[in-house]
Amino acid sequence: MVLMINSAHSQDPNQQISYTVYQESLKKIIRDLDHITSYHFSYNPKAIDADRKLNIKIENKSIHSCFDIIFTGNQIQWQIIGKQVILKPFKKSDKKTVSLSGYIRDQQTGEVLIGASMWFPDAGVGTVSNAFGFYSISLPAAEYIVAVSYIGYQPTKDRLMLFQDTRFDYNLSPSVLEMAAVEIVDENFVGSGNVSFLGAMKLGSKTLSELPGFAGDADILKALDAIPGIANYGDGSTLFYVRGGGSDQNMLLIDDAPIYNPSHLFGFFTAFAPDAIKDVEAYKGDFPARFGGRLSSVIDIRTKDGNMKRIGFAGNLGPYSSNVSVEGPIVKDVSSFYISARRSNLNWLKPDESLANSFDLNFFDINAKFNYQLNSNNRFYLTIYGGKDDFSRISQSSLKTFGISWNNVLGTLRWNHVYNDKLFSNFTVYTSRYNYFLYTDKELNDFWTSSIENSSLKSDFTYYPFPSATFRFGMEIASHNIDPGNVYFSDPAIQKYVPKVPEYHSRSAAFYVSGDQHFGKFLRFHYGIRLSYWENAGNTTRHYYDVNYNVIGEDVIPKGEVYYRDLRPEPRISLSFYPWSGAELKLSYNRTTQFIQVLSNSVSPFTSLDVWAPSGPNIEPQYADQLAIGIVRQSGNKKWLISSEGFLKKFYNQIDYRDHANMLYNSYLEGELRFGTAKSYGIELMLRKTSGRFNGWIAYTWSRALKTIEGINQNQEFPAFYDRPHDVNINLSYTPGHRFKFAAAWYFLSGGAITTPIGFFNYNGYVVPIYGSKNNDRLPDYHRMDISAELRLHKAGARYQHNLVLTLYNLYGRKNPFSINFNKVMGDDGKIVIPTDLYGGYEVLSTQLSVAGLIPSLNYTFRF
Amino acid sequence: MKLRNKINPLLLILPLLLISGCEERIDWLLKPDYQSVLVVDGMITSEARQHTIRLTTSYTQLNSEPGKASGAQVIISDKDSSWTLTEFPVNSGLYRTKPFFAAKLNVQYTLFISYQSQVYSAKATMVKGNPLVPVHYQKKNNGLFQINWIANPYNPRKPAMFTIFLDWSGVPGYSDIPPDSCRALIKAYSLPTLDVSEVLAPEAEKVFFPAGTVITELKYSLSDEYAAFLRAMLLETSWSGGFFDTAPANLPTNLSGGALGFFAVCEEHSVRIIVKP
Repeated sequence: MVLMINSAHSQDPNQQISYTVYQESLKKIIRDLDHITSYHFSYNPKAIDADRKLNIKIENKSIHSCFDIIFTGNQIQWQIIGKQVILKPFKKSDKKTVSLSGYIRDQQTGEVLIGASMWFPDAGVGTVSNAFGFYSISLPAAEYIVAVSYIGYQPTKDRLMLFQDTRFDYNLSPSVLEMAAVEIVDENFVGSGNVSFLGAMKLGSKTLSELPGFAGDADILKALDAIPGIANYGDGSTLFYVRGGGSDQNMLLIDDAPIYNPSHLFGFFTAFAPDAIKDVEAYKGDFPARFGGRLSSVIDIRTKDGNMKRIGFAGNLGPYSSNVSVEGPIVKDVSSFYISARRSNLNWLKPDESLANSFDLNFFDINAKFNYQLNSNNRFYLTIYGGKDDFSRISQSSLKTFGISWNNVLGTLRWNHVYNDKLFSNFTVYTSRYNYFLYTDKELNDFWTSSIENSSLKSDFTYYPFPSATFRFGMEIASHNIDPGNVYFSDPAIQKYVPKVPEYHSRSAAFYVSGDQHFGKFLRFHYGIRLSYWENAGNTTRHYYDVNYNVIGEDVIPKGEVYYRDLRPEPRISLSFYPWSGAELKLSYNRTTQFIQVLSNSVSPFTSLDVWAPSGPNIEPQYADQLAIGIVRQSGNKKWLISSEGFLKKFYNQIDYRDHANMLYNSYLEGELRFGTAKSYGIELMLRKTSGRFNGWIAYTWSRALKTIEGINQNQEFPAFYDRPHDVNINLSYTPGHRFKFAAAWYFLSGGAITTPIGFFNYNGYVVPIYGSKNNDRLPDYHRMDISAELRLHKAGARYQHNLVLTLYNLYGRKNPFSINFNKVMGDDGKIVIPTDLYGGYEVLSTQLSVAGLIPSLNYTFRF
Repeated sequence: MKLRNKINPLLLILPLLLISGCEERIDWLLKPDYQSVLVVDGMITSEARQHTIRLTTSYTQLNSEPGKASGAQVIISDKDSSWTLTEFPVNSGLYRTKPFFAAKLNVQYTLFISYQSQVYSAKATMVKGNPLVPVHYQKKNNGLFQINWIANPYNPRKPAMFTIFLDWSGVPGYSDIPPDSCRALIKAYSLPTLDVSEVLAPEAEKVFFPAGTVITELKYSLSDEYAAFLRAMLLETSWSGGFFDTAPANLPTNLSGGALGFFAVCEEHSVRIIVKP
């Protein structure tokens, strides 16, 4: 059947034509066109199969567009000469490749969407938007169906005529039901080779909001515990360990700038207000070459840009902390801002009225972001973050006053520039500073302080030269200034004898290049190399140690003089095989290097002391080799995802500490260190339901983390204190309708390795423990269940959205100990205390110390 | 009657800060795999007196009585003299120098012990200390007194150990109570190091005493080696079990032959105070 709606004879290229046929021969279609237009068609019947049947549907297209759809889309070149249209088949070399590029955004707010997927089912290829929402893909000129999707948004599917380089921005609408994880990936996307579900995990703001969180707040770092291969220390801690690495081997980036202490209140709260977070990508293996500087993980946190369309307010009012945010356009669709602030409400926890004025117990953070779109090719972002904790006893009612305080400040300025449809760049300037204060006497203002500061300039380029390849390259230069800790006393008589611990001044540079190439539909090869350079310079004092770590000399290094240099290549390779649709088998190897580390022999779950130090003559750079193999499979109905990944990791130049190392205030800090190797291995399993009202995942990890350090444990291998062989977590979310949302999470971890006494002796009135091998024992297993229920108080689609969120952290009140002690006594009032009166001896108890029983929280959240 | 009271301690806030933290007694099965060894708790000082060395043995079960290392041969010597110590009382593990003698500054003393066919030795030297500044005490709301200052816990040049012996057995109203219930012994330290677990040490009991209590305070100078030993001991005892612990480890020693403990030589200063109402 042939329908010709516009039958006017025309050579006007702008003339609109509608034409529809079903299973009609090309010969017949050409005859129709001959009739509809005033063109005559010439072709060689031996070169062009004119009998082939085609389906064509054209509505109100120009003549040239019609020719593109009918001929170019069927691999036939067309050329107009006078009134003739010459048709000839495409040679392979003639096949035109065009680019489609642009941004993927939230339709309501204009916020760019990171990691949104774009899929071309006809061609079997796809791509994802980058950290700035930009995408680009090169394809043979043709007509395509393009599907775009993102977690929590309604997917779109459109027909697209792609016959020339095209810039097109997609705007996705949030899902009407406000359901998280409505669809995690588009159909056929797993196994497409564009997103790997192995070695990394993405936690969008919607997914984060699904987890029960702590005290009514979605908590990014605690959410990481739900990822197989990542283990949190325990209750109230933001310390986490990835595939057998130390907690300082994790890099946390906020809009490309590192944050050194991501905790509030010693770790009970994460330092970033959850409302400000747009997207989190956690890499635990197979790091992209653009990331470096840490051995175990990169947590790439992206903050919200701000609503481009209208002013909006949001807040979360809770018993422990509250936050508010405001966002909106500065110039509609051109520039916007996002500002959030959070403050603790903890003072009601003070123990009694008489002490109420004796304590400070506060934290706050502020996040501000501004962005300005100069034109379609240039956009600027400015991010500012500041956070502070202050915990102190400020009036003297006992032996002394004390305090702990820390603050993080960082700022990032970024410039996105699109050179053309195939080349995207981002330039970043950032500075980050972290200060820590330990007041030995708050009243007298006697304190110990350490700090780390770094500033950096970096560039990242992404080049999309052809459909099967993406290349990235870039560089970074940075300066690092570290004060490893100095003491300041108000009493000049003491201060004049206080030695000065020398500061560190370092500079670094890194260059990287990486490629991501597909070989047919079955194979993807990702490769890259990062070259990392580090140097230390004066003004400082360099110490020399003998083999027994005794100081044998020192040099005063003048300002600017370089006394240490190192250059390390870091290759990264992965090979993915897609045996069938919805499946990926991946093998990866990567080497990572770390030039800066925390020196602390603390076994506390809480952030207590941060002494950062760079690699140098006495501290060889840490590096690690990781080999991983994994498989991921999506079920036929696309609702389930199952993955399994095994890893083997070897760490070199690992740091441990001599017995009772003095790390707080020591000019010869480096002499307290001992070095060796570590290894970790394990297998991670995950079953995930990715769509529907009921979704979530179950993950299990079995792993080991073992260290061998010269001079420790008689040089014998021992388990690291974060060695937790079994790790199970279950996260479930259920959204029965508009009104309610429920979530539950259960965590299980083997108890951490600890050292318990094998004997005791008495000295000077004290009962002193005797230890055998290091980490010879284990804490009881850790487990905990959290639940949350959210009641939506607004109608669907209402402008003012508000909810009540009830969270029960540690539902069954499990007391998960973080330490076992053998040095306390039972007081007359039943309290467990350290004995002060040593007259006549005392009976020592075995005790365990835990935090966080059942912690209920009722929060009111709003957004309008 | 011991006048101890567990008032709001310095760090009472911390468990509350950690919202619902708690410490509780547990039964923990230790994994003893250890042969008992000799422990030396010995100090000689600049005071002319009979000095005592306590020899015990280690034990594997918590709260066991340490064994008394009886029958040892114990000698202290310097380059010119030697003093043989005798066990008194018999089978007590306490060894005393017979004549009174006072240790001298910058002289190296050697402790020699022969016990159960094993030989142990240690060397120590006395360093100069600072004069003693007496403790400060303060009357509390309960009408009793409490020590509120002993020394700055940080002293980069002159580390010291303080022993404060409190005796109110002679105070009217307490004379009917067994004397041992009216005495307390407090130790404090001024060390050249700072530790987080010291600054934020776990909750400790408080000791109260009435007016009329006799306070005997002794101050001992510490060599660098002894200060390091005491710091390690405190990290494993009084400063351990808080929220900011460091990795546990065995104490260092200056004794050879596998013995534990420490032999120290200290300059001693003392003061006696009677608590005024």
